[in-house]
Amino acid sequence: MSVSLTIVSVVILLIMFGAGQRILDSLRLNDKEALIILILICIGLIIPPIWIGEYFCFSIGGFLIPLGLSIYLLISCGWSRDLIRTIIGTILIAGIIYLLEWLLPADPESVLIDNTYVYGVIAGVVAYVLGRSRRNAFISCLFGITLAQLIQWIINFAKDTSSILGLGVGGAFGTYVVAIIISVALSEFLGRCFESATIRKEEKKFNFKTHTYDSVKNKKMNELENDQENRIKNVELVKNAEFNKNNKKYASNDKKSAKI
Amino acid sequence: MKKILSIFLFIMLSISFVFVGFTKFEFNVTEAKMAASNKKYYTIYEDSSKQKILFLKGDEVSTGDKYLSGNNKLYEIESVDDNQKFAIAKFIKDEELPKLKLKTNSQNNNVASAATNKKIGVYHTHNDESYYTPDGVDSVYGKGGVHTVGKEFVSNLEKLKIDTIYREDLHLPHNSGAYTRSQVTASALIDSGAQAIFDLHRDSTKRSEYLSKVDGKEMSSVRMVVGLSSKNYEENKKFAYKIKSYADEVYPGLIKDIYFGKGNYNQGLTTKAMLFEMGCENIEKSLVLKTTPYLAKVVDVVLYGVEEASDLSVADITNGGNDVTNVAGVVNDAGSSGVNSNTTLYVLLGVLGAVAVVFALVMIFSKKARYKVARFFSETFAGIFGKKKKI
Repeated sequence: MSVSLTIVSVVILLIMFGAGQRILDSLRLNDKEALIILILICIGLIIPPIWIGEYFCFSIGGFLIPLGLSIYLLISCGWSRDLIRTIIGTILIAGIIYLLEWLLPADPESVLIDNTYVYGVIAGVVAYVLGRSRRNAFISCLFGITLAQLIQWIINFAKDTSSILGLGVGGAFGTYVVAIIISVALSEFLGRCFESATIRKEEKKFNFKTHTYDSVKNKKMNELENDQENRIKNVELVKNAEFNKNNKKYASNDKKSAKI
Repeated sequence: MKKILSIFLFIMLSISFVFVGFTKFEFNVTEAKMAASNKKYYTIYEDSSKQKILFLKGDEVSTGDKYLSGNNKLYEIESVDDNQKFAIAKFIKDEELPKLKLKTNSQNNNVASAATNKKIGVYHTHNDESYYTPDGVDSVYGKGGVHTVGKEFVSNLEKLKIDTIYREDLHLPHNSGAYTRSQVTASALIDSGAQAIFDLHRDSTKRSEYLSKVDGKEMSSVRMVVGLSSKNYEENKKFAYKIKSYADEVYPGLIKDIYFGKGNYNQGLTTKAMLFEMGCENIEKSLVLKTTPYLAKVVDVVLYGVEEASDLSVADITNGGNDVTNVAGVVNDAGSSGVNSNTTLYVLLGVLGAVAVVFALVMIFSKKARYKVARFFSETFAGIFGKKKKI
């Protein structure tokens, strides 16, 4: 079993034990959907890649299913909000990976970690720094790594030295997996660290109504809610007062008319 | 706070790129620069006094790499000086290669069984590698001289009635992404049913390092490279040891040595993957071409055993043969044979089919099961395909 397939299997187990709920929430998936997608990826990885012509092939599990998921995430989260960040992230990751291919030594003897995973780590960190969202990180990683491969493929075609473009095949899927896990994990853990760091500044008070500790946001929310409640009460009081006044007026009018 | 930290991270990342780029690695943007750097090689000494040269090696050498010399002594690289391009190796132990008891040609009665289901894959990760004589350069952006060697090796394998898939796909440029690109080719070879895959390269050292005499003829020797990071490291090592053991016995001088380098070299894909350094850029290509028939015969016998190897391959076995045991081919060796990916696929499809049949039967006969499955799909895909249906 390849390393990337092992990582995917571990992720499946973690989700089965209920881990990563927040990550799944941000990816607009429930645990059942995530499990189905990951199992489909595993099955798709075992199926040999599909070749279109002599120079292009793609893996069902390694590329097609993650691509479908990315497109679903983009559409479900709204094009306008995430599109610019995703495009910037994709271009930057592609550029950095293309540069790294030249920076890192050509022969594996002098490399401590396999280049495939180095690209993954760098892409993951860049995706986090740019997007700081699990969703953006996921999409940018996939598209960025694919774009880097595509750039080299086009250059080779232009130089009349056509090479194979294998999307999600071989080392490419390993890069996707590492990049996505790193970026999503960074978004999750650093995101939580930021949240806890900002909460510590304020006093936390236990809210007996909601049975939670109120953070700054919650406090403000509660204040707003209280304000709204007070406003509604005031409005009701005013209405009641007006109603009473009117009632009194009507009552006095009735009395007058009765006397007449 | 978030903004400051993200900017800080971004700046740190950029600085680290610049630092890494300008200190540790050469920024080989042009092919010309790359060719120049290829001319350099490392000298590995047996001890720190630098009295005895153990071997020369092109490209990089790293601490922790291992080396099996021609006389089967195992060394480990202890220290490396990148500026002066030398390294010190420490002797570890005398390695014992698997002893092969060979059958003589006259006793081989089963030659007719050869040429059945024998399939080998050959490719080049570094397509640009060439030989100064006669190519004129050591690197070309395209199919280099190493492709001529590959073609010759393949034609020799086919003479031995081995179905050989030779993929001349390009994985240019010769940078760190080459192995990522060639992994697609190697995977395709395995998917095509190749029982073993060979990645043919050429080294970049002195001519004398590779010049050898095999069967009384002057020719180039071959170095094998095994990846320490490969998940099949132990099996790949055994495969290399078997090749060396057989070659040492039948064609002494053919296999120079084995280098165990950090890296994977696509050897994680199968237990029977090997990287051959077919001479160096300074040796004549004609001498390298002379090596290929011998190497093909070695591969044939080691992979398929004496019984299934071609008549031509076993004809050179001359060492007595009174104590006769077959050379078991690694393909038929139960312990080392890797499961073909197609077989895995068929097994998986079979299991899935069986599960589908059971599932269908349960669905037909159980109303409760139908209800549960309908509810599961309704809950699972409600968010994707529309509103949740009430069941």
